[in-house]
Amino acid sequence: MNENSVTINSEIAAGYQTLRLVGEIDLANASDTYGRVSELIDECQRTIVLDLDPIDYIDSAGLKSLLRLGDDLRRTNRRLAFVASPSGISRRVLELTGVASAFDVYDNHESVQATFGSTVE
Amino acid sequence: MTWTTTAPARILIVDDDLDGREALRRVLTRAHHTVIEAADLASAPALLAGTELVIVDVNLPDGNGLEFTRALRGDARYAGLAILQTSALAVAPQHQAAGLDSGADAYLVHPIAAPVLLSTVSALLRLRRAERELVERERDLRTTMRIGGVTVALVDFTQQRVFASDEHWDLLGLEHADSHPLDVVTPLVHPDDLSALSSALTRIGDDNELEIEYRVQPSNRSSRSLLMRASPVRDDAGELIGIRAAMIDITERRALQDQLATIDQLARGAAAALDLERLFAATLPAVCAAWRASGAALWMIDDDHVDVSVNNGDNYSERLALPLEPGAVAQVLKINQPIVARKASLSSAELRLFGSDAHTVLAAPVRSGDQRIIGVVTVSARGALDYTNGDMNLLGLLGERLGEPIQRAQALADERALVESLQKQLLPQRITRPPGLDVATRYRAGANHLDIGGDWYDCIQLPDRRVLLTVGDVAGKGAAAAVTMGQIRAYTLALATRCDGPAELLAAVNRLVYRGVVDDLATVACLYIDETRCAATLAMAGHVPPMVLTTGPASVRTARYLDAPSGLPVGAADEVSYAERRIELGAEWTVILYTDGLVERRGERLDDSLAKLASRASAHARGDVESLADALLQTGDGQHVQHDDIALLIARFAGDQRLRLQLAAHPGTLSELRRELRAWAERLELDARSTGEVVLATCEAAANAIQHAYSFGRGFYQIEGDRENESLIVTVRDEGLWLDRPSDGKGLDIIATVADEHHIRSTAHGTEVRISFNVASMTVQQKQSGP
Repeated sequence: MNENSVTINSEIAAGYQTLRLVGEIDLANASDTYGRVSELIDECQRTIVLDLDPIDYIDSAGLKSLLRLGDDLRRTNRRLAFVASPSGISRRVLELTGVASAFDVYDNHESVQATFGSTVE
Repeated sequence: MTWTTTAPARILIVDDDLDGREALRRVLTRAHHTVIEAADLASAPALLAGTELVIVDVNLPDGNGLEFTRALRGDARYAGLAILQTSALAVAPQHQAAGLDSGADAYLVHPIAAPVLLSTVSALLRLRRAERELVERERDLRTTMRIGGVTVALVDFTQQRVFASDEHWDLLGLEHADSHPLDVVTPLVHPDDLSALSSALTRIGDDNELEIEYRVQPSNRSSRSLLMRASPVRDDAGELIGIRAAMIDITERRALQDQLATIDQLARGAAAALDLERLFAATLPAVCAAWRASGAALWMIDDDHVDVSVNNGDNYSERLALPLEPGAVAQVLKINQPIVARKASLSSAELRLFGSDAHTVLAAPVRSGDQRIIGVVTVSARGALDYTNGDMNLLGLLGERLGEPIQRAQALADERALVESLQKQLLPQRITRPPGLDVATRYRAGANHLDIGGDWYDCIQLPDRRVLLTVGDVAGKGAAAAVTMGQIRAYTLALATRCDGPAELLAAVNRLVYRGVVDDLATVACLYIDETRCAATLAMAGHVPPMVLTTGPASVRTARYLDAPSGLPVGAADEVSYAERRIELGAEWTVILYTDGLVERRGERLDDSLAKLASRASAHARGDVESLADALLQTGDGQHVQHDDIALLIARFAGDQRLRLQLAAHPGTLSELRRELRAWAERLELDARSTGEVVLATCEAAANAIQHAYSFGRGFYQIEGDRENESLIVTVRDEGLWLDRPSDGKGLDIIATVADEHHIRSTAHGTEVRISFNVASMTVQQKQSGP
């Protein structure tokens, strides 16, 4: 129904799961995106990284739905981190909404790997 | 709607048009009337015996229906005959006035809708029948009122004396005597009648008998009206020596006739009214005057309450709904007869309406055609005036005559309201504004009572970003025309995407209208606006030419009419091919499509009307499209009544630098909004980063409008983007109330940070978010952007 449905790729590397979101997230598909991401989250992973770099557009409603994921994970003592390049639209929205100061936001995938790849549990 | 049934009558139709007669006959015979027909005036008189109503066309091959009417009115044999004039050509108010002036009871213009014909015929028949009853009643009243007997007098010219009986001297207020001198009797004649009386008496030498009516003013009583029949008295030589006269006192009869004439006039006035408002406004002040009342009111029963229309004095004053309380009105409803009510028996509402100094109130039932009580008519007296039983009976007669006109006015008003609401339902409830265009629409019903319905406008967005503007006018009128209009609109909507241009579209619509169930014609103008918005293609089906306003050098706005070779109206013939014309509109333009109600002025040439419309349009071109639409609807000279319906559609393209959008308040439209915003930013040559900021802030505002303004996902929001010098201003407008504001306000935070300035304004009509960006700062950001 929604022509702007988000594509999600899941990748589990040593120690964390990366979910790459491609497309546009707004009020129209925010809760749908939340549901689909939730279903893909691997129960065994302690760290979930949302890669928002390929996102063409995200608004505050879209972001709010992703923060619900953060709440869900915190309850089970797990954590959420973001990848968003400094010049991209998602980084801008993360900063504008103050999310950037409450979560770990990495410039690129390499710095994620540098942080979590070494701390295998 | 229910039509009062009337006992069948013999009706004569005089009309040279066979189809016209046929149409009338069909309707009338269905109502069980006996219909006789004449094709010309010459054969009409022979058919008049036993006829109650004549329906005569005013233009006949062998004479004029007006003169025929006048002749009938002058003939005592046809005193009770009702006359209805019809015309297909003489449709102006002055024609109608001339018709009624010639003595017709009513005047109808072809085509005549069946309900209008039946209700008019039924009203006229009842009117004339009631009149005949009145004449009979008058005869009864006269015998019971002991009109003074015949007195006899002899005027003796030789002695200059008048010899008469005592009864005659009583009448004049003179002492009983054999005779009185002529110069005592003469001054008693009313001065206004004296010269007519003396000249008649001088002429008596030539005429053998004379009948004359005159008034006398006795010293001891009010003036009396006398009818005198006189014959000459001659001596043996044939010389006139005196007059023998018999006189009847007709004072009461005259007064009664005057009163009946007044009632007749009141009832006729009421019968001419087209709605209740006008009926009350025309009738109540006249009732006040006729009964020398301080106030008159009509109380119409409506379920558990009464709708009261009151007049206290000169001007028609007010209408209000009141509960029905025990009082004069309730008493009349109970006993179904006129009453004289004293102050003590009035309800508190009646006391308030009549005024505390009203001491006597007359109240009489208003009866419908089937003798049901539908209301009560009241008059109130104050001061020295006191009402008699005679006054009460006269009000009773009025009440009986008012019911039919009231029901007829109500039915006509109901029908008009029905057509108007049907028409409104079948027009687009709301036009979705195509990207880049400002659109204003209007529909206004005409003043001609039932001649409304059938005009339409539409603005259709095609998938390829083209826009179809269309306006049309169905030839017929009334509910059927409104329905036809709805069908043609639906055809157009369905066919618009399948046709390449307006000519093909009109041909396709014509085919469906001609072959389909619709039995009517319509004129149509179709204008396809290109996706570039700089050119258009026009095709016409017998419609008035659309107008375009363009901005020339030095911002001079010029108005011109667009023309394309016009084809037949749709529905006129089976296969019609239409021609289309391509028109360069330029970078900024305003197109005005309308129906002929906007330019048709009686007594004015169409070219003159079009020229006036063009100058009015150029004069108001600077305002927005809504105020332009209002300005065009104003006839301006205050003399012309807008008889016909008007449909008006204005579309404006103000150039590439502006953004104009109207989107459904649904989250699904946000992606479309982003697309349009990005295209606009590209036209303004904004860099990617600035584009992102404008899109972000605007879409947050739009999301707020969608989430908070409308509870059921219905409605629209509007986006306007303008560049003003160094600023980019975006306005997001909705029509909701933002009852539940977002608690975290993240969207508003984004707007506040991204925009250089923003204002939120809530009014009774909705909420408006105005965001401005500094274009200069965006160029600076361009240099800083990049990792």
